[in-house]
Amino acid sequence: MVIFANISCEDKLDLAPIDYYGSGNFWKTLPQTEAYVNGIHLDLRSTNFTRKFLMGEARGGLQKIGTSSQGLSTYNDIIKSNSIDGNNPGLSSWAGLYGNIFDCNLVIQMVEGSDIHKNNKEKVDVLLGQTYGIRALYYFTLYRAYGGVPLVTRVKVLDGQVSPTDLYTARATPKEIMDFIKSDIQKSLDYFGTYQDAGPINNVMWTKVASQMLAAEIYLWSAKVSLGNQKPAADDLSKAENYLLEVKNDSRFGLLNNFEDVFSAKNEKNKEIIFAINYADGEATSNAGDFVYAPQNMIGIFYDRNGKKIDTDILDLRGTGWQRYEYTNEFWLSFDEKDKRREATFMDYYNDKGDLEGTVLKKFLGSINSAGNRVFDTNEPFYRYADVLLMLAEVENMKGGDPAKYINEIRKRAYGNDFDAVADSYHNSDFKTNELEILKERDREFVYEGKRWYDVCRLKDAKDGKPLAFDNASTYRGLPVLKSNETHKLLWPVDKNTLNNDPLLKQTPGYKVGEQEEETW
Amino acid sequence: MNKNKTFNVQRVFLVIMAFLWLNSLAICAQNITVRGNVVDEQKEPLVGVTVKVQGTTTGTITDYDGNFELRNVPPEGKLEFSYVGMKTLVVSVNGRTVINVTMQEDVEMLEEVVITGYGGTQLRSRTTHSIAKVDNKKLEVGIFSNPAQALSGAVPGLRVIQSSGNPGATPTIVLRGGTNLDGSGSPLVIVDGQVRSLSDINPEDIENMQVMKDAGATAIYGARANNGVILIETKRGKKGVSEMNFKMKVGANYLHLPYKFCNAEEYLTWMRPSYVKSAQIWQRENGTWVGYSNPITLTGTQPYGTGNAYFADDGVTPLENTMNSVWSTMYYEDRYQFLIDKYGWQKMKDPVYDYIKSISDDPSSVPEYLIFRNTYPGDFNFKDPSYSQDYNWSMSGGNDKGKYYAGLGYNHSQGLPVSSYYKRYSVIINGDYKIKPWLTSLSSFYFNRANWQSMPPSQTSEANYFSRILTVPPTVRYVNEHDGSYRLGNNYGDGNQAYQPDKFFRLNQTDKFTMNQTLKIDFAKNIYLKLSGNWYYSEGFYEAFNKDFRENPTKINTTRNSSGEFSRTLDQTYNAIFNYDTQINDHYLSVMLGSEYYDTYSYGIYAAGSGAPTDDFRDLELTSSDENKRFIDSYHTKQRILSFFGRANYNWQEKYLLSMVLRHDGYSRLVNNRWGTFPGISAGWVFSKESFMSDFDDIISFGKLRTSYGLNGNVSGIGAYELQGSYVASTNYDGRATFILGSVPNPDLRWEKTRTFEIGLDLSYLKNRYSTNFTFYDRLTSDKFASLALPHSSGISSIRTNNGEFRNRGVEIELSATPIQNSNWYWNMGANISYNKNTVVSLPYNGLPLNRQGGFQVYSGKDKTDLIWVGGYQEGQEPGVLYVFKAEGIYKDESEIPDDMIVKPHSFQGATTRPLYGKSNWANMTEQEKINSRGFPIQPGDVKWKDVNGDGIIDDYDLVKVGNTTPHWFGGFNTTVTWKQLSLYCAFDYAFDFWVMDYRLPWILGNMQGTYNMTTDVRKTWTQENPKAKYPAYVWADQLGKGNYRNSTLFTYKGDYLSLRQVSLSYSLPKSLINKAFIEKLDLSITGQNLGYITAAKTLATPERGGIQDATYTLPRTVTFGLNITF
Repeated sequence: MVIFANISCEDKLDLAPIDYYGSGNFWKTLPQTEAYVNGIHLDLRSTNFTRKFLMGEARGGLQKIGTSSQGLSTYNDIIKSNSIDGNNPGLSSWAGLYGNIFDCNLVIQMVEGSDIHKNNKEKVDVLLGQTYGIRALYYFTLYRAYGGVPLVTRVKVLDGQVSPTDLYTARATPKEIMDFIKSDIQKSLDYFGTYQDAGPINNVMWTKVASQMLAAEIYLWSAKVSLGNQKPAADDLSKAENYLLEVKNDSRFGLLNNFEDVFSAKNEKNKEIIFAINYADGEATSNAGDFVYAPQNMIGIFYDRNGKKIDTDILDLRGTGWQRYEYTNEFWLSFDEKDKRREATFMDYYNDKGDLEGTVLKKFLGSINSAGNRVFDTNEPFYRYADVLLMLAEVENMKGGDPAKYINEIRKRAYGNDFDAVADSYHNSDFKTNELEILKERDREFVYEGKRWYDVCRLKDAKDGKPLAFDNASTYRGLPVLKSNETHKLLWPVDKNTLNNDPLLKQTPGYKVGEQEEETW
Repeated sequence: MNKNKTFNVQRVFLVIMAFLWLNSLAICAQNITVRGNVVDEQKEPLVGVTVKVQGTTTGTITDYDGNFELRNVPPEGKLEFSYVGMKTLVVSVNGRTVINVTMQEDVEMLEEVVITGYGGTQLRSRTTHSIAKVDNKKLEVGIFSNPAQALSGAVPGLRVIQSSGNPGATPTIVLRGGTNLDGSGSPLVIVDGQVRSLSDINPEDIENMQVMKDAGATAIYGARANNGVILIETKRGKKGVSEMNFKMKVGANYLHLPYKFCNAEEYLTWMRPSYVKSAQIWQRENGTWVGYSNPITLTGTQPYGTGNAYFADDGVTPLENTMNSVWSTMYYEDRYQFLIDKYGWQKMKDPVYDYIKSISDDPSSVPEYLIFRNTYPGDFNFKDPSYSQDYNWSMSGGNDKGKYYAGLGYNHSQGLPVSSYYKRYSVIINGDYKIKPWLTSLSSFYFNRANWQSMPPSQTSEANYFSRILTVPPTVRYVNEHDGSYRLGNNYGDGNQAYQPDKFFRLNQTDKFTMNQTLKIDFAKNIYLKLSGNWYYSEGFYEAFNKDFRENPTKINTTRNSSGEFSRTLDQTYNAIFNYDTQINDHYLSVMLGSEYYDTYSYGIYAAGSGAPTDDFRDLELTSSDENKRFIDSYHTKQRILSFFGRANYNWQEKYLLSMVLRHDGYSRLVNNRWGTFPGISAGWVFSKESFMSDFDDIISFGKLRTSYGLNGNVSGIGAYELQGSYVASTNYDGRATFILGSVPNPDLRWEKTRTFEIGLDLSYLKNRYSTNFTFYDRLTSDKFASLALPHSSGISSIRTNNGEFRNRGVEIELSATPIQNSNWYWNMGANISYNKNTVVSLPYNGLPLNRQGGFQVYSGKDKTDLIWVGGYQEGQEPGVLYVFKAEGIYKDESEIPDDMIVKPHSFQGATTRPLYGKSNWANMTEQEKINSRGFPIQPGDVKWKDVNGDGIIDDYDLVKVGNTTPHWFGGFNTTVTWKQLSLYCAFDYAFDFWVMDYRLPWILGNMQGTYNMTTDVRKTWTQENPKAKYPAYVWADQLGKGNYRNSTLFTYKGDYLSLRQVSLSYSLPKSLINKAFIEKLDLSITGQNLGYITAAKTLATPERGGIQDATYTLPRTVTFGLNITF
């Protein structure tokens, strides 16, 4: 009994974690805060494929569905074929983005105005500028996918609320969300102030110029796309233009001479990349490996452009990769032969009769690591300088001006020495033709850069017209991306599980299943 | 019973009154007082022996020292001494006033002693608890690497699920339905006072294994015992016994697969056309076919394709390690005839010859014949039979002062997968010594080492090993013709597992040491204090190193990954127990008070690297020091429990029994609600000792009614620091350190509380040769932990809460009988059956009907749109029900296709099927609409799905309930028949009233891998020639096409099974023969183990698991020869 006499019971049972921080001893220092904002960038990377490709591009009508040319079943066909409905929503749980928003909310809640903030003003201002910018990006992504979504700006579970009834959150209206996005991006720019106006930037971390690009994209969207009670404001377009010109006039950025060099794994910090998601061997690799081939599905089966049987691992993939996604043959065929982007983006292959069988994506092949394995570690650009020019073209077209100079600047770089100023230049035309030309230029420029779906939703057949998604010319094969009776498909349905977990939620208009209720914005 | 006698409370009262009255009357007679002492054959005093004057009710009970004093004894009368487990003794008084007797054990019905925790023991007849003892025969017959494998069907209420035949596997054990919402929850295992798992324990070291079920008893283990307690005592020396024993078992384990795979010819006959069939589903007006497969691969380098090659371009060098020589299938050419003549290759007509001709530019040049080699991957991947060996050697002895037991054990069990094994080494030394008359020292040391490799290191899933990699197409070439050497196959994961086992070095080792020192201080005969210290080291050492190995035919993996890990857990348990026994007249009281301090500290280091310059050494120092090439980690976790507890057992004349326990626990895992108090109370009434039962003595020899009520806690499943929340380092981003929120703080979480009420009736008949036990229990767990789903917008998917109430309710019945017992014959039987049903009683309010968590909707069938919520957890419902599509047959021919029917796309197996249309739906679509819809017509060979709501549309709500997935009934029975020296033992166990669905067979028959082999069940698929088939048509990648092989009643079965677990025949050599060689005893035995199931679920590897089940490591059929010698 003596053993126990000296034990003070409670003290002996108070044991804190030995290898990491308990919640009681975090948010005490600047390095902790910086590491958490690094973690927010990690979030950006982990949701990058969903956000960028599945939400930003897959539905754009340029993807093969069913079986790939190499005989493999392709992934995410429901999304790529726009066969989504209330039972087959394509995405679930708001694409998982609220987990990332949670992290942003946590930083803002714990750091803004705290002692760490006061004692490290400049450094924490930048961290908050990053956090507000990234949160605006998440809400902008959700807005373009779902319209009005639950607006959550605080981590309530840390306030001691763990009952689900306290956490139920109905969908806000589109206008409320758009206003919130605009206010967040403004806060981001305010926090950045003039800190990053000069000097080198790290293009895989969120910067002021990333926020400027996002602001331009937000205002351009707001100027062109209406949704429910969210209508374009008079100054949306000029704001978009101003943000774009700020970046255009920033001498730290510009076009590279050679298109292929932009994506070189050896030159990832080039002046064309404004913001990219970092991939690195040992940290994380991208999904580009799902767009290539496995040797057994390629070698000895297909022929090259000259009719010679492919008998080697041409792209040196070394057995890493599959073909789970493939761009349509029609899209590849739409490229001009002189366009260097075709060779930089795709490898094409044929059957024994010389017909095009298919293509694989070779824009983001990564590198061979020291163990001799292929790793898809190319950084994936999120904003690059070409986007500034093509968005300016779009602004110009909306203003009734001449977008041709911007288009031609892009095309000149793409064709390189083969550019014939007479035959290859674009000349200003009517609104719709201009929009279609901008779309085609963006298509060829931004393959697998997460733009296509947003482009066919934002580019229109008339100033107050319909999105090009409904236009037969938009897919290079005479079919529209969406049928005219599918306007509800401009947004995504919410999956049943998400709806079931929150009785305040209603389905996206047009996607009602059974007894579900729909939003009426 | 011959008389229909009833009794009631008044009657009992009268009997008691009469008894007391008789006692008081007796004083006036001219009788004497007799004193005496009662001992057993070992001269140990016997406590509680009933001493009475024969033919009267005058009687008493011996005290703690075996002494009795009986007044009022007629000098010419007779005294009757009775004691459960002892032969009743009748002694004539003959005027003596001192009578000392020695009682002899009644070997026919030796009274069992049960252990009650913290050193307590109780005679079975006096216990008020549900404590089941595992028959040692269960542990001795057969060959086991751990004792859990021997528990199937052994104990009522204990369900043992053997879902893996891996010799190192520990089966899942669930007591009374489990206290978790999903029906899981395993008992706490305590070996000589030390909490540990059953794995790596040598069954031979076990003297006594018991399962404590009722909370009246388990409350003494308070915080962690809500799923019951398995108490194990190891063997110790016995006074007066000195012996040495050697046991040897050698067994052969035979693979017992539920699948029979097609050979190469049949594979090609089905696989090649499947590509054509799924490419040609309907025809456009211009004659071109529409489908979803690409038959271009029929001539490619595929297992079924003809693009493979035997020779290199030079036409003479045999190819190896090229993609085009993995498979044997080729078009027949004369130059390959030698393969048929010399190497057993085969030739067949191309089953799709006509098709290939039809699409060829030059039909006349299309070859007609295929050549291929048949290979069964199982011949390379399995060792069948594999062998098991088990050796045990023990020595024991004891005298008045000291006792000693030492045992050595070795088990080496080969697994069925090549290069797999499990080895266990065990050492046990137990010694007791009476240092002073008042001081006894008890010391124990055990050591267990285990080494194992469950499968070849290229594998991560037992389910895959026993299904997927056996479906590698039989056209694969695993042997080189020219020299007989092995080839890899398609890749190292699925390919030939015998190809390069030497390329993967793995060391898995655990060392478990237990050291216990106890001092028992006897203050008086009936008062003692026991102080114990127990250290349990559980260590693991793991190394893995890959030499340069062939990853696929064209690639050598030279990463040279090397890793090492050392982990150690030190459990320290210290306790002090004070015990006091007393007897005052007929009142017997035993009191125990104690306190315990438990500290567990787990820590370890891990390091890994790659890129060493050579693959000869695994030394981590040689790995590359480049960035991101090395990974190091260390980890530490500490937990503590502080407890105070007590127990009081009381009985009056062994007739009225009462037991109370109380425990107070504090656990470091919890933050704001750390302490819990867990009481238990139980009572019993041995009514057979009542005088009114004496008329039935010859029929009912023992009868006891018992009841108990108690409270337990549970905090399992919570991390040591989880409730404190965490911020943890994560993967770097661009080389920068990151921190993320690991878990959200949750400091208010409380103990789960489980209260169990039970009532039982124990009866023995005909001098205890037959006995029955009935127990009813009701166990309610409240403040239940469960993750509560939060709205996705909160950013946290779920949080753990004290979440509602969950009930287990059931009945346990146990029977045993010894119908025949004479000098030549002995026949004994034992059987048990249990019923259990789980119910979700309440869930926290979340605004949904029945506060439902999870679940999905199905049509009620009431009208076309009415949907009901099923599955998940809902108040008042039993969790775990299986819902699938109902197959109402296969469309045999065109005439059966419905006009109006649409089968909507269905997502399963990571893909989505095409919409299907009935006759008129299809006919009414334009060709462009058909193409745009991506749909197909419903055709003969497709499944006719039940349209629950009758709306002509099959969608995801058209599911039907199949049934519950956890057996309601389970148990076991065994019998022993002995004739002279020969003995036969059989043990069976069973479970019924549950449903199971085969996950793997539809994957195989649905050709979901797309190229892999099928089982011969494919013969039962629909074809034009076989329209009455059981299964739908065999096509390529059904999950991308019509979805005929989705979850459906085609693959659901009643899981009811009866397992023939063991049959053993043993022979004891006559003593006259062996005594000359100083041998006391020599037994020989042959045992069959896991001989098979009688079940409807024949396509499953084991029916022991319910619900949707993948393949698994099938339990091998084992035949074991045993030798047991005692010197």
